[in-house]
Amino acid sequence: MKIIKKIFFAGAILLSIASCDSVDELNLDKKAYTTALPSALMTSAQVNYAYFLTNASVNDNNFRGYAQYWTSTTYTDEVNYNQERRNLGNSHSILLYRDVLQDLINAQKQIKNIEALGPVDIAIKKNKISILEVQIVMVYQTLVDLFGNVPYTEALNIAAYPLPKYDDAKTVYLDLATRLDAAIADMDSSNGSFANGDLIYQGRVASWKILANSVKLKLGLHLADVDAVKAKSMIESAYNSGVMTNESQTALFQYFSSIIDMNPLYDTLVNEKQTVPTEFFVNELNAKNDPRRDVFFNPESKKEGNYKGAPYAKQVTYGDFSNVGPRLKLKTNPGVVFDYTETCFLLADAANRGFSVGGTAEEYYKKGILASMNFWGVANADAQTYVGRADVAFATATGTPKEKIAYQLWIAYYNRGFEAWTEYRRLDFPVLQAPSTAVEAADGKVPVRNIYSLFDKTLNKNNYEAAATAIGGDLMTTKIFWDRF
Amino acid sequence: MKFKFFQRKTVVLFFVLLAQFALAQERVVSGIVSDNAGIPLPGASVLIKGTKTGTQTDFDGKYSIKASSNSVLVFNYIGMKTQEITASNAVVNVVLAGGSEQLQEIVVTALGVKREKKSLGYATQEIKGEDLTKVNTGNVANSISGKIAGVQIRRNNNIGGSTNVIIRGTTSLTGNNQALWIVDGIPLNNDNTNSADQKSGGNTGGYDYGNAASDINPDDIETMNVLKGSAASALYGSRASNGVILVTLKKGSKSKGGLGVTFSSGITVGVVDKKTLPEYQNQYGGGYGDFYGTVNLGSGEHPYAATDDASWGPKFDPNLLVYNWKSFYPQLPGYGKATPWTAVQENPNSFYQKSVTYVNNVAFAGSNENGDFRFGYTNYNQDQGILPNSDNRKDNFNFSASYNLKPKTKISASANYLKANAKGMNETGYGDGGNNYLSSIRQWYSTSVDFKDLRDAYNLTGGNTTWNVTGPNDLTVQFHDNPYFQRYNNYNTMDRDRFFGNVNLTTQVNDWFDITGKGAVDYYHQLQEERIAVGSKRTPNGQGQYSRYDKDFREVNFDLILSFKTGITEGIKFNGMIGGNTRRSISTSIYARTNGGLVVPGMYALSNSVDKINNPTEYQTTLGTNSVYANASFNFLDTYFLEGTYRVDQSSTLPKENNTYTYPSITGTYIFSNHLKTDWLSFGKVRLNYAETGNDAPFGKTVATYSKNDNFGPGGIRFSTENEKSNANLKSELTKGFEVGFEFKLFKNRVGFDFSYYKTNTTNQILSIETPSQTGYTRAWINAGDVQNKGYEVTLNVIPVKTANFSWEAKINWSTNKNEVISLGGADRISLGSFQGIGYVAEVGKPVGQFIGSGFTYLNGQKVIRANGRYQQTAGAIIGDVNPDWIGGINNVLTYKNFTFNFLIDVKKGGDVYSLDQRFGHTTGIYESTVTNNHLGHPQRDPLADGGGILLPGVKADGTPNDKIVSVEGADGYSFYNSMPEQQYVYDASYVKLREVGLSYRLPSKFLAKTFISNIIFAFNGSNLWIISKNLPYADPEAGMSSGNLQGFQTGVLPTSKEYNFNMKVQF
Repeated sequence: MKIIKKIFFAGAILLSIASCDSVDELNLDKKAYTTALPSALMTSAQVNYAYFLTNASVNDNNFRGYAQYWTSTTYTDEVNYNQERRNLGNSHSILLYRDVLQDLINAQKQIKNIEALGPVDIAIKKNKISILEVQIVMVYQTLVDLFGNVPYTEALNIAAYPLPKYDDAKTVYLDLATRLDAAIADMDSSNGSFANGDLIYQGRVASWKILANSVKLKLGLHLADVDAVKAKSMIESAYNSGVMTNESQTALFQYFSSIIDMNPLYDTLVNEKQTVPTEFFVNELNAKNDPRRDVFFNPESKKEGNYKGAPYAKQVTYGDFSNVGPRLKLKTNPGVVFDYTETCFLLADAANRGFSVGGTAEEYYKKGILASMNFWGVANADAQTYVGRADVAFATATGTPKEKIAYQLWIAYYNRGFEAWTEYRRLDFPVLQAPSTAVEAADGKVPVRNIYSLFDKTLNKNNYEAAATAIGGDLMTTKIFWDRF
Repeated sequence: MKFKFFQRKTVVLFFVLLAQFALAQERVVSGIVSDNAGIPLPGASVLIKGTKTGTQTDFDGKYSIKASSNSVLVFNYIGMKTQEITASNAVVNVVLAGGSEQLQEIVVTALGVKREKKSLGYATQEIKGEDLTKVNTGNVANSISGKIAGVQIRRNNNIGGSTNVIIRGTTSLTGNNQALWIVDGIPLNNDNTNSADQKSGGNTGGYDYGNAASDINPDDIETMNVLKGSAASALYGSRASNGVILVTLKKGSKSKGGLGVTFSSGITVGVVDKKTLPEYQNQYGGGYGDFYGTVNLGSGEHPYAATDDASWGPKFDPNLLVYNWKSFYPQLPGYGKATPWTAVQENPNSFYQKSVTYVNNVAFAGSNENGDFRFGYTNYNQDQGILPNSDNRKDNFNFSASYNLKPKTKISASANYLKANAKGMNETGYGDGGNNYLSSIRQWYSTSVDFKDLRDAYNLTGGNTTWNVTGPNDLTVQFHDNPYFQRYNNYNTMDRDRFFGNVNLTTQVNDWFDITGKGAVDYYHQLQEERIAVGSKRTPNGQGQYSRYDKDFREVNFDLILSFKTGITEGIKFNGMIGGNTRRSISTSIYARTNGGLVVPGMYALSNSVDKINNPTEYQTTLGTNSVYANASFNFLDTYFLEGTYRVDQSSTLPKENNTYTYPSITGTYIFSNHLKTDWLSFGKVRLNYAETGNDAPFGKTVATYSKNDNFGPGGIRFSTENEKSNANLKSELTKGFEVGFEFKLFKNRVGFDFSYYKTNTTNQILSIETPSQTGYTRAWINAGDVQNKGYEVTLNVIPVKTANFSWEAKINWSTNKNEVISLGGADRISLGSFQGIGYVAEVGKPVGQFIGSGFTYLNGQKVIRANGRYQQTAGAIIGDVNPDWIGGINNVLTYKNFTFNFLIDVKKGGDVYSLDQRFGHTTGIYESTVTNNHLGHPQRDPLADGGGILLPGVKADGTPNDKIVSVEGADGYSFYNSMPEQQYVYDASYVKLREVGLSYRLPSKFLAKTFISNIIFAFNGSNLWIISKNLPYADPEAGMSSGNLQGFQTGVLPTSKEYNFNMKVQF
């Protein structure tokens, strides 16, 4: 009987364990965060946006190929414009929506929810929200420039819109302009913003304001061929409010030396040796004895005393050609988000179109080339020699003013594949030939658009089809709305 | 036969005479114990009444024992009526009768309850321990293959790797579908630690670290019973929704009196099956085309062989002198020497070696009226795996004991400890950058590289002297290391310590009421260490890397069960039970690796990191369920049986308001043979059941979280929003299913037949679905969907021949399962994973597990060829289905005197496999099939002008036959084979295998009569000896990445080993 009593006692304990030991709290992951620092969400977004602009992975950024700076020696699907094989539309979409915009918007939401007390706090809060807003605008512009119509009003709100519709590209552009104006107006340089987490300007509001105006300049210029009136007002107000005027204002993204924070080009150029400059680009630079060649290309890889580029999109041997310069192979080489060189060329284009931007096309053209030389560390004397050449100087170089600007812009935008390809599409110069081996979908032309994610077709079918119809077909040959020529 | 009769008579006569002289003296009494069908009963116990002296019958039912003529022999066999006979004669032959004239088969059912098989209203199928130990392949799940209807086993071939076990098809789209393993009432965690990238054969790849069911030692297993349907497993709750494999370990209680000792020792040699190796072409060398140029490395200007990872190079020509890779290295003897351009002596198949495994086992067991005990120790030692520098060792200790405290209270406990160590498992996956050397040699390889040279180069230099360098003057490695360097330097290790055990206390309160308390624990620690040597291409700049992954798992279960049994009235019996279970499990893991390289080469420690290490990745998963269950079964006249079960689970992984859910089941059985007395029908039964089971969510899916990445630069703290939207409103999954079955035993049990039909629907599935990335998430958790499984299972046991000396028994099983996705909550298709560009999906109207990729385009059933002579492709087509049409096995046991011969043929019909090995092996021109002659009889690689090229079978867009011959010379061959739709490389994964063969010989007891040894058995066994038929070239269709939901993909797979085993077993 003693034993039976003991068993009942043990049983009673067991049942009390079963009934009292609640399971309610077990599902909270003790190693996962249920809250996040807003500034740290922005940091993550900046890292990913900079990655989008900087990297040259075949999965995420083939734009240096589209602009025909570089080509791949062995695996040529991407430089032959195969956008389907690696579902590039999906890589871009995931990176920009999920890994950049989502975090920027969440950061903004969280900051909005924190009550600010007193005028200084209110100003800082406004600055933070505006700085995030500028970045959101930049990313949406990138998305439109990639795809055309994109989810905008219904994006990033899964509870309300699990299947977001696509908005008209121009409407998005105009709304971005409005948002940018509001953000610029809200920025107060006499107060601070992010104490940490801003890897681009370390929270300097004045710098963000200049960047915001420079972005507005670009946004406006993109509208020039389709809405000259709107373009003029945006460009001139941006110029008057203050765009970049020197190299120190360039929005750089600093990389470091460890595997998680190094420049992603290191992977492509050093770990994998499959990327070399193109014959076309190298020959153009050789022809004008461009002093940037010793930075753009690896001086140790000269062939018979000269730089030698590879034919575009052909399978070749890496060692037979010059390769990319050592500065680009540095783990710590910064990426460029927006730079002074770019501002100069945008102003040259604006001036050339008759907009009032405080100087002539010729002045900004020369400033742009010199800014590029400066950025790449070319000695001033060499830079001056170059701009003095008859085939470089604005007055004497061949081509229309637009072509001259576009041509020098193309050289100066080296290593900025996405912007270079975008400006090539907008300015249509230099004339780039698609390779004969290009995929059929390219129709013998350099792509002017990235096709949507293949998953959009299956996951968001109706909205996808409506968008494809609206833009004139989900093709890489369909022009973005601003690409009139 | 006459002779035999004479002999027996003589013996009888002799004993009769002997008895005259030696009355009441001890002498040998012998005989045969059989059942009423005349079938001898091996293992029946024979005990002299009132003593502890006893013996067991041998395989032929024979026994011999020393007894005086007035002693009483007690004959006992489980499930049969005990008989007592006085040993007055020297020969006592006994026919034991069943409880109700039938052989009472007792099986272990849910919660360890022993039941008469005839009463069960659901299908179960049992395997005896001795059928699992013939060849110990390191994972007991492998030994089930082909033996149980409805159980699909997929060995993956990986060294120490995992085995996929699916019972009655895939039910859950994204959840766990693996059967639950319960060993002596202890639910055994059977997770694998393989990464998502590893399972899908991704770029990073990784190792298949195996699943934990491999920790069950086959030598300790008494029986294994498979509970297939929901009704059988409903008492176990949600975790058993995929079926249960109940393992009962050996106990001391089996040995009747005294101490029994068993010792066995065996050696297994594994030899690579040539049918699972690639056939390399030996006519053309490496490169993407002609020689890239000439160079003078010291013996004149000669072409240099391409160092690229493809074999579209120039045709071999012994008169041509070429600088090959080994002439590029100053430290090699071939430096600067041009050699004839000829085929290699050793192709990559010489990489494999024989595997050697020793298994030694000793067990002690004993019992008396107060209790029993058993201790077993098994050492499994694969000294040498089929790849260089691999081994696998397990030490397994098992101890169990029971003690009767008072006549009505019994306490029992078991403890199992396992120590497993493996080294040099094979890497799996695509291996971008040469991570998996097997992918290199099956996909990206140069046929002008001699493996002998690679081995010599490694042995001489000890360094990474490899063929795949940048060029003659640049020895930077492109992708592929020297394979020997990689094997001996980039190796992994796995160490697992595991303890599982239980304590049971049962007391009989009165003759109709028992109380049982149970506690069970399963604990393991696993350490995985991966090394990449300095100099290997696997890390950037050959900087080296070390990583470690530590995992701890602990699960504790407590059960309290009150059981009742009573006769309600004459002819009606009742059994009932009510119980409670509380389960808590916690799993924690941490992963850390060096960063930026290793400071000191060859030193593998986190502190040896060049840069500061990144944040280690930590996981902690805690799960809990509280449950109450009840069961009631009624037996009417031993003919009608009715049983109902009910279980309520409260699970921690569901939101509080939805966390409680229930499972009812009801089963009915009618033994119609009790009403149908015929000569030929020994037993007949019909059974029917209906059950509902639920399933909870994976851990932590109800709470939104942020991930925190490593700091970017100094102070760059990073948080990011989750990519997969959590869901605070999840509900439990629901499976409803019914099953109907028939069992017959005919002609005095010479033929046994069992048939089941079942249909289940799993609705309200907890799914992670893909969402458009513009929502900010790429996946979201939802409740949706309906997956249906229906199928037939047939088992047939036949004893065609049964004589005194010879018997032949055939056990046939066959099953088919039809899986269909009925609904996906509005979506047509959801992605379950992807394999290097191939989608793996569930699509409405089709079985779970369709391959999506580029397919052929058909016109009137003919493949369409474009104007360029290549296939017209259809993107996003369904190009394969992983589900087999049916599976089956035939196991034959032939016994002649003391010899037993058995062989098992295992068949899988249908189901597809996508081979990336075939795709890239063709693209790179390494396989024999890329040099065969074309339709004109010319070598396909000859120039078009010389009659070369390939004419693809098919029609042009206008329907006329294709007449465009395509060049496959050099690099164009790369693009030609690369232009094939992915469907080209989807193969039917059917196979017919001679899975097991065994020949054993048991020393006749007369040789041992005067020794203390009671039994000696010698056995030769073989496993996987012959793939009788398959359609997939150069590999085993079973080979794969890992256990889990993603199946049917091959990249860089290991060949199959034919295993030859010799084994000796001694019982004392």
